Formats: sequence, structure tokens, C-alpha cells
Amino acid sequence: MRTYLLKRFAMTVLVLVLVIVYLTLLVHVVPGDPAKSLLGPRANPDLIAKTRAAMDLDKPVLVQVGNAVWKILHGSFGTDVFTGRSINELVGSALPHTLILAWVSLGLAVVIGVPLGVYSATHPDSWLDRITAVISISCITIPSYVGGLFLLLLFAVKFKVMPAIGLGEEGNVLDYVTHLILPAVALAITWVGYLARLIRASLLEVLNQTYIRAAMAAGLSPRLIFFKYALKNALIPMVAVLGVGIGNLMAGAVFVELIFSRPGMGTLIYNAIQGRNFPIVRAGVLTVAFLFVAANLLADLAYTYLDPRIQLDKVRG
Amino acid sequence: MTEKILQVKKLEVKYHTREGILTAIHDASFDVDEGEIVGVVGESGCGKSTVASAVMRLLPPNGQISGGQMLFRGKDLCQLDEGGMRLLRGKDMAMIFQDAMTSLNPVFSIEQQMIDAQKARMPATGQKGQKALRERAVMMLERVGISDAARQIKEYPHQFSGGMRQRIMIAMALLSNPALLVADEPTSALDVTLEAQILELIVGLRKELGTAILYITHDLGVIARLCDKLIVMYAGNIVEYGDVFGIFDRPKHPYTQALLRSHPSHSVRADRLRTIRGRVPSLRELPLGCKFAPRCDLAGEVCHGTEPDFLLVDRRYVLCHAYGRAWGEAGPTVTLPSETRRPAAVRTLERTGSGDGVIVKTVQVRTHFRDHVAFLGQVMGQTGGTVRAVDGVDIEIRRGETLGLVGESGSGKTTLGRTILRLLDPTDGTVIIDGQDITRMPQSKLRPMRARMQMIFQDPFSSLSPRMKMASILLEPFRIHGLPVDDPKEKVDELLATVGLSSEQADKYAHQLSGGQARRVGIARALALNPDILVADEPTAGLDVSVAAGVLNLLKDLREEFNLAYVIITHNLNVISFIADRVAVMYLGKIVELAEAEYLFTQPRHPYTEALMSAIPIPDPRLRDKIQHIILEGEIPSARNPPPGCPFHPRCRYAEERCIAEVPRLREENGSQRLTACHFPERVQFRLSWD
Repeated sequence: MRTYLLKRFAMTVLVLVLVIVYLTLLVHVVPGDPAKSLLGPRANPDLIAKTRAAMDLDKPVLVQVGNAVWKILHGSFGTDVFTGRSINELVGSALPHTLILAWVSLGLAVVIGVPLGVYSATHPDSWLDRITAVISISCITIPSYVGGLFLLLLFAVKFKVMPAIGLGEEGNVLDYVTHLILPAVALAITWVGYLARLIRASLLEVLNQTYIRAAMAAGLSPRLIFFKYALKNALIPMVAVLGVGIGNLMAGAVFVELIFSRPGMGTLIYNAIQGRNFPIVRAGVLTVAFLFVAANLLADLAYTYLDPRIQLDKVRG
Repeated sequence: MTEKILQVKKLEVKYHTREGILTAIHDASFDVDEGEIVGVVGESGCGKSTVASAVMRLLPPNGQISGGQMLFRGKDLCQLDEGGMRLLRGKDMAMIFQDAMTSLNPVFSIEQQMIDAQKARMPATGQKGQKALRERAVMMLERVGISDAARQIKEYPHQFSGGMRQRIMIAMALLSNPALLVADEPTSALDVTLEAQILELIVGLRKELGTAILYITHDLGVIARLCDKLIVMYAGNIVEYGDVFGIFDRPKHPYTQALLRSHPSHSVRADRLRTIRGRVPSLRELPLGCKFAPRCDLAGEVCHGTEPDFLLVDRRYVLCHAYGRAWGEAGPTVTLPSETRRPAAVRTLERTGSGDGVIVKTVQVRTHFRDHVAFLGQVMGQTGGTVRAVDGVDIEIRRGETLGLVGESGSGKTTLGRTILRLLDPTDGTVIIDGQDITRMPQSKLRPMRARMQMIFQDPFSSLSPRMKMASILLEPFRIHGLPVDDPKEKVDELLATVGLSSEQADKYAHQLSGGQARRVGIARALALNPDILVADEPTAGLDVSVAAGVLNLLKDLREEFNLAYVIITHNLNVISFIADRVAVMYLGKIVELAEAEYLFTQPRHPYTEALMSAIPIPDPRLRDKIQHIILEGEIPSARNPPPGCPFHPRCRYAEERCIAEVPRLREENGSQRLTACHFPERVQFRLSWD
């Protein structure tokens, strides 16, 4: 297990370094001088030179890359040339909102999707199963930005039962939660359908296995067989999908945050791109990349817990 | 007087399907007494497993017991509700399944599963109760031969081999000391040596615990070894039912007779196996009258018109008109032809053709597999192990000769077969095909050679493309080798005819064929380019006895017709005894004995061969106590790190210190024309005699 964790850690660092290098080089691929496009057409040459120095652009490319990697690995994204605030601080204030949004959506998806899937699997071809199938597939086909807009128009504009935009009053937890509901649902819709279908398929497969028949022949109660013996097996593929799904969720969060004008990583990166503020884009994208890698690692660890057949530190034959 | 554990009376089972209601079991009646083993035998689709599921009331959701009674200690199981049934299952009646690999839940430890199984009937309270359950589980595991059970019980199913898992399943089933054990083909997926271990275990436990066993199998050899009574099933009917000795001695029903005759056996070396024409009818199109009549040589008008009655003849039940009044008192007597138990003459081989006729020759061939180590692993200094699948093999095969390759799973026989054809590249050594060294031959030169050496794969369905019709599958070899075919249709018909299929099959897809037909198409494809060498990997695996007999006869005929050289890879020793001229016994990548089939079976010289031969289930119940059953301890070790010295020494009952220190060479014993790799071949005393 330790070897495996070490290996994964080394891999994570490698991936992050490559992302930093790529993001730093990206500045040079985009046409135009980054400092000029950041400051606008009427900036004076003096300020431009100063900004170029602040962004390391006056140094050779290799040095730029090396500096960026060095600084970021030491935990510093640098300072924003516009506001003078540290970029770490900017990311730090945006990140929690996105994390909360993503995790709440994921939680919603699991809490609604898994029971739907379980019901369908236990009552295959019943009319409720068919309705669930229609709902699930409809859910899968609704992208978060469409779902978000609809929810916004319906509940905030037409019925006025939900707040439309923003995070809510600062310090008011209840207000924060009500502001979270619509964006979280918009983001979760796709996943509800997806998880329901996935759980249904894997449960049906598991229920056909000999070990389920063997458990029945041993006189175990149907509840025990279903909730312990079958469900644990059926959850394994779901964990794999969720690991990769976090990345998907982050991408969806960008749209949802924009639609609902919520502060967060999506809004941060979007605004930075709009303003050609490359250091912030770099910091934002890197943070999301890190979350993605970390989520995958978590999923793999959850795997070992669920499935003893997977031995992470063994060389595969 | 012994207690009647299970009395089944006029049982009827139906399946509700899209094509309507199908009767899977019709009018089945039998008894299982205390401590008795009752075998149920028949081909696939005859309803054996349905009987097992019906007794446990574990039929699939579309199955329904539509009539009859099943009295379990006088209580009718058909009348019980699901709750009442659950109280019996696992307590008074238990079941073990065919596939031990999948009948244990992979994500829970053995301990957890065995404790849950016990809790189902006696809720254990507190730590003390839990401990008692655990102790009982450990005790049971020890009883079925799991060493160090107290520690091993913490392990998960994947950490055990197939044989061990089947033992664990048995331990789990016997936890509550049930009165009835239903066993559904529990050894069919195991090697012959492991099968012998499990059968021995079952016999022992029956003696010790007095459990009555309903034993489902397609293997007549297992029945003969194990059972007291026998139920023969055909198309959902019990066609014969009675004492096992009586049935094997004088089978009455024509189906039983045909089944017994088509079973290859090394104690019956016939030139051809009897087959049963046609195949088991599907439940959708059951014939009127006697279900077996369309395949029966004795069937008369009455058989096609009216259903026969279950008759008691000589203390045995038979479902056949031949014994009833319908034929009149002087009806035809059905007798078994007396051509059995005749040792066949050793075939003299044609030694004509080029040189000495040797067409395949290998010299010290080795095929090793290295573990794949990922890049990061290499950086961190990991090195993979090496699996020595084939480790220095010399063989020679002549034209028209059949070499059998036998051994347990993991002995390297399939790898050797593939290496001969260069489907795998040997690590070391030389492969010579008809005088040409193909060991390092480039693909461009090897390609024309490929037409002459063909393979018949183990799984006929996965080796036939599901998207191609049989006609294009059979013409593919010509396309691959760029050979023109004048009249494709005629060629396809000719090939199909060669393997005994009608030309209608040309327009079918693989899923429309039966197992036997698919196997025949595989053979036809291999024959398309007139090869000299055919390597057949388990040619009868998964086939019913009578179908397998047809395939074996076909292989034998084709050999005579085209003077083919065969390499037959199989773990089924009865098959080898029927078809092979010489047999090579493999163990951990090495040949341990090579001899004419006749001698090998009657007088093995290597202790491993001896154990294999004594483990073969022989379809003759009278031999069950006569033959010395040598039970091999343990299982074949991994070819990753084979034992030092003689690879067989850890399991050998004659092993001495020399065997650990020195690798025995494969050598000829003075002029005997048989090769043995053993330091003490003279110690092997096993003799098989059929008198």
C-alpha cells in the first residue's frame, strides 16, 4: 500500500508539473503580447515593461517555465498585477464555493440516483422501472447549462420561490443553502440519470451471479442478500465512474456558476480569460487539475476498500 | 430402517417464456434415502439442473412447480411459503454449485460469509455467540481439508484456487449438518486430480455425517464412482431410475444404453464410439409420444404415437414401450452389444513419405512469459517474475500420428501447442516443421507454411466471428492465403460434408449453431487448406457425451482420410485414450512421461501419470473399489517458481532426497520405447486391469 501511495504521489506531482509547463507556455501560443492585452490598448510603455517584468516575460522561456514550476511547487501563485492581491488568496476565496457546489451536487446525484437504480433493478420491466428509464435518459441528455437556465426561469423568475443569483447574505447559513439549491440541482440532473442507469445495470448483473443463488440456498434473508451481498458488489463500478466524474462536474460548475452569478473557480477562470489575466487562469486551471487527480486517487482507494481483489501495490502479471 | 429424506412424486415444472409455457420437468418421481447418493445424469437441456433447483425451490422467477409433491421428511415442500422454505434451506437442506469460482461472494471474507450463513438460522448474540459461530466455521473448514483454517478463514475467495473454493463451498453447505445436500455438477469445472480429491471428500463426509446427496452430473464416470442410485433424464422425463450397479450392468432404456456406449473410456478401447443420432429436442418442439423415439433405433409406430408409461421392470423403473404391453409379451429385447472391454490393437503407423515421416519436431523448446512492469515500477527498481510455461520439451510427431498432450491446468500444454504452430514465439530451442526450422522464420516466409499447420480452438463460438455466415468463415482461409476458389459454393458444401454437416449450415451465423455444430465448423475451417498438422485444444470441452463422441469419431476418420498429424490437448484422459497413439504427460512445463497410449494407461511409469490414471472416473461402478485411488495432495505449483529438483517431488508419494536435489532426465528405460523423467520409475505399481 505504501509503495502504491508513493507511486501515485510521484505521478500526481509529475502531472501537475506538466500542467504548469503547459500553462506557462500557453501564454506564448496565444497571439499578441500578454502584458499588452492584459493592460489594454492605452497602457503606457513604462507600465507594460513593469508588468512584463512582474510576469517574468522578460526572461528566456526556459527560465519562465522553471520559475513558474519552482514557485508553484513552493505554494505560491504570485501576485495579481491588477489588484495587487496574492493569487493564492483569490483562489482560496473562490475554491470553497465550487467545492461545496460540486460535492452537494454529487451527493444529490447519489441520494436520488442510487435508490432509483435500486428500485429499477428490483422491479425490472415494471411500469415504474420504465418511467425511471425515461426520466433517467432524459436527465442524462440535459446539459447543466440548459437545466440551469430552465430552473432559473421557472423557480426564480416565474414562481419566484427561489433566489436567482449570488451566494446569499454573508454569514446567513440558511440563505446560503437556499442559494445553493438551484445550481446544485442543475449540476446534479445529468448524474442522477447516469447513476440510476449504472446501478440498475450492475445490480441486475450481480443478482444473476451464482453467489447470490448460493446465498439464497444458504437460507440468508432477502434483505441481507440484497443490501449486503449484492449492493456492495454493484457499487464498485459506480465508484470508478464517480472518480472520473469529478472532472466532469468541475467543467459543469463553470457554466452553472456563470448562469447563477456565483463566485467560484468557474467564475474566476472565466473572468480571468476575459481579462487576459494569464497568471490567474494558470492558477485556476492548475487547482482544478489538482482536484481532478486527487479525486481519482480517492476513488482508487475506495476501490480497495470495496473490492479485496484489487491489490494496488502488486505488479500485475 | 432408513428414513426417506426426500420423496418426489409426479413433479412437474413449467417455464413461462415468450414462446409460451414450456414443460421442463414432466411426471418425475424418485426417492432419496438417508445417507444415500442419488445421481442424476443426462445431456444438457434434459432438465437435471431444473430438478436440483426445484428441490431447493430456487427456480428462476419464470419457473413454476405446476404439479406433484416433494415430501421432505414427510413435509410437502411445494406447499411451504417462501419464509418456511427459507428456514429449511441452509439448515436441513443445502446446495453446492458447479462454478466454485463464482459461487462465493468476492467482496466478503470467508469468515464473514460463513458466519452470515449460520446467523440466518440461529441469531448469535454478543461476542460469545459470534465466537462460537467462528469456531464452528473453522472446524468445518478443517474437516474439508483447508490447512491452517483459523488463519485462512480471514482471506477472501480470490485468494483460493478453484479446488479450494469448492471445498469451502462444501464446508459452508455442511455447516448445519443438513439432511440433504443438492450438488449441481460440483466437479465439472475441476481437473481430474482435483475432482478425485473432491469426490473422495464427498464420499468421506457422507460416511461420517450420513448426509443424503442428490448429485447432478453429466459424467457417467463420476456416477459410477459415487452413487447408489441413478436417475437418467431425457427431455424433462426420467427415463430410467434404479440401482446404479444394475443400470450400468444392464441398461434397459435405449437412451441409457446409447449414453453408456458413447462414453469414451480407456477400459473400452473401441475403434469407434457409438453416437446418438440427432440431438436433444428443445422444449419448444417436443415430439409426440416417446420423447426419445426420433433418435431411437428401436422405435416403432407406437413410440411415435403414445407416451410410454413408467414401468417397474426387475426392480427398476423404465419409461419405454419396449417393456410394456404395447409391444406384446414377445416384444423386442433390448440388449447391449457385447463389443465392450476389448483392448484395441496398437495401430501400426505408416512410416512412408519423406524421410522417417517426422513432420513436427521440437528440440528443447522453452516458452517463458515475463511479467509486465510499468515504467514507474521500472524506475523504482521492480523486476517482474518469469512464468516458465514450457520449459525444455522434445517431441516428434509423424505423419498420420496423434500425439496426446495431457496434464492439469497450468501444466503448459496449451502453450506448447501454440508454440508448435508459432502462434507464440519460443524463448529458446527449435521448432522444426517438415524439415524446416521455423523457430525464427520471418512472418513473410512463415505465412505460406501456416496453410499446412492449423489449430482448432477450445471455445468454438468465440473462435467463429459472430458477424460472418458460415460460408464466408469457411472461405476465409483461401482469401487470407490469396488462393483462388473456382466454385465457392461447391467448396463450402464439400467442406461441410467432410465434417458431416448439411449444406444448409452455410447460410447460418455462429449463434444459430449448436455446440457440436460450431465445433465441426471449426474443424472444417482448419481442414480447408489441406493441412498436414492439426493442433486441437480441448476438442470436446463443453460438449455432451454423445456429441463429443461424434466429434471424436470425425477426428479419427479425418486422420485416416488425409493422413493428418494431430496434437490433441486435453485434460480429459478418456478422450486421449480413445484417439491418441502416443501420449505426452506434462507437468510444470516439462514432459514427465511419453509412451504409447496403450502402455501409458495400463502401466504408467511416472508417479504423476499413475495418479492421473487412477483418478480417471471410469464408467463402471464395479471398479470403484477395485481400483486403487491415489489421491494427489495439493495442487500444481505456480510455474513462476517451480520446486527445485524434480518438479513433482512435493506431491510425489515416492519422493526421496535425491528427487529434491537432482532434476530427473527424460530417458528411455532399456528398450521399452517409453520415456520417463523419474528417478524411481520401478516403484510405480499401479496396474489397471479390467477383469
